[in-house]
Amino acid sequence: MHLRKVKEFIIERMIFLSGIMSIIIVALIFIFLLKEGLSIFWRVPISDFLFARNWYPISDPPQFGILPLILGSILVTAGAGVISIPIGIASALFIAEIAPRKTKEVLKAGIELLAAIPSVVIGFIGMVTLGPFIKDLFHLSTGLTALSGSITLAFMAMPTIVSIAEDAITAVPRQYRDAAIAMGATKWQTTWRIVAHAARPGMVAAVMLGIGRVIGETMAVMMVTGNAALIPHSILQPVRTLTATVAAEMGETVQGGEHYAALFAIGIVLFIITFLINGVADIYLHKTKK
Amino acid sequence: MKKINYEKYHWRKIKSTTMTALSIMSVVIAVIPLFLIFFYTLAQGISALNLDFFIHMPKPVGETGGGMANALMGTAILIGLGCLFGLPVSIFAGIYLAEHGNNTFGQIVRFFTDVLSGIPSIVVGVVAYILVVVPMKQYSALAGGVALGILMIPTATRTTEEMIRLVPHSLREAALAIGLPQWKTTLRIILPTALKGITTGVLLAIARAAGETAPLLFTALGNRFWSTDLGHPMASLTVFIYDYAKAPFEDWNRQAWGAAFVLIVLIFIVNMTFRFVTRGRYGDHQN
Repeated sequence: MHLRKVKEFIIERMIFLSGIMSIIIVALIFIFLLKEGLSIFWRVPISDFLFARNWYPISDPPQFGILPLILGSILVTAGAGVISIPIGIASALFIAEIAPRKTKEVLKAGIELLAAIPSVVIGFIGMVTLGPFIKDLFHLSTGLTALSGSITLAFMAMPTIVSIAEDAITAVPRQYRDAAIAMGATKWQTTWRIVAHAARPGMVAAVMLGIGRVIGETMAVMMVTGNAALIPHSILQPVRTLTATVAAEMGETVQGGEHYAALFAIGIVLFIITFLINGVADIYLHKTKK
Repeated sequence: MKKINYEKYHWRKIKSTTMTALSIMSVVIAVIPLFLIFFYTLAQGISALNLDFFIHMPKPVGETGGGMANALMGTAILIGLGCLFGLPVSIFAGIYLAEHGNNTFGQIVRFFTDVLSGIPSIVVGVVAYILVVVPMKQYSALAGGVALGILMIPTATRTTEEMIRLVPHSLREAALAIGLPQWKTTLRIILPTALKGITTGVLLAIARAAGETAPLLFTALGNRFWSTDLGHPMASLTVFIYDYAKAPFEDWNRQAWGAAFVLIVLIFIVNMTFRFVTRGRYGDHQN
């Protein structure tokens, strides 16, 4: 009997420990990033790091201003948002409200498959098809631009947006629709003014998670945007994002050096951005569930 | 009685039809890339797909032919390591959330699981780099496995939780009623009942990890030679695709397409299996 109690205690503890593991891992990730990255701020003040205009990590003296990288990330993400949000939300409305049952299942399966395609494959296709297309269309010297990145990433954000928004729309009670139709509203008026309105918190969460995926995306962006760490003046210029910088330069730095610390500091910036986005999205998601 | 304004009604009808048409167009735009990716990759890679491609090693630069046997093996080993590090924790965490998670603390754990799934994979790779590569002073398969393990946790945890929640309450109560302690009920009754769902959910997490490239770039690094040594750099399908896609040789690009097609097919099969096994059950639970 005593042994049984001990065994029970151990297993219960193990389950609890595993339960809180995601909290531990998130905390550890943040601590490790701080530990390796904070030292850059002894040399470069935090405002210079964020807002200086030059990222020349290996010139002499090195310059660590991540403004061009932040702007690169913002430009690519904004472009992807402009494309994927309207299309994603409209698709979600169609799948949830208009499509017949069979069509709905096929479309959902298809869009979830799209979400599962590795980013390196999407990046490869973007590089080979979209790059030359953009180059010819706008007569540029290179087709690897912020616009190519935006279009490529739009297709990576879309599955997230569609699938979460669709869940939120489906969760709207049937009576709302019936009432609207009974009042003489057309199908579209019901969908847009009543259902979409009721599902709004879920749709906001869907958009935020889609955007979160775009900001954290690395491979596709690295292959498609041209990787020039310059302040972009137009969407038709090559840009470089925060993630691509870490991926491209991490392997070549001296461990413990300034450049190394600067890359970890970029990691801190990425961590904070994605933490905020996911946190707010989570709050919105719980709003719908109530 | 007020007269019905037919003109306005007509206008509303037109608007409704137009907007419906627009939303259909959106779906078409959203789904096109799926077919495009599948068929384009197939068309480009089909000439690379033969038996040699699967059983041979990469040829030195400049020679045509060769295969990706080491990358296939590497991906299998890296995923095996990832499962070793990630899955036990995920399954226990899923149990915890399903059995004890109906309170504020459970909500906090779920919140952090979601946050973890939103952290860019490159950042997870960076952390695996400090944890494993720096102390070992070498790129290694082990580091890649740690990164993939962490990336698997959110998906595997949440699907395990969902699947355990699907186990009928009567089963749990019956086990507890005959005097089984809570943990034994969980491990001997609940877990086996939910096993099918958990297995496919776990496969989904594995499929996702198999497609990761960024966290492997400076952990497992890649290797042009056959290596099963966990303490050394190891090849993987995704890094193989990346390296060969960037290369200026046509034959390499062709092989990258071949590898991409193999990877996509593997991931599609796993996803379809998941949908097939959980069809109905999962949907009902959601509503």
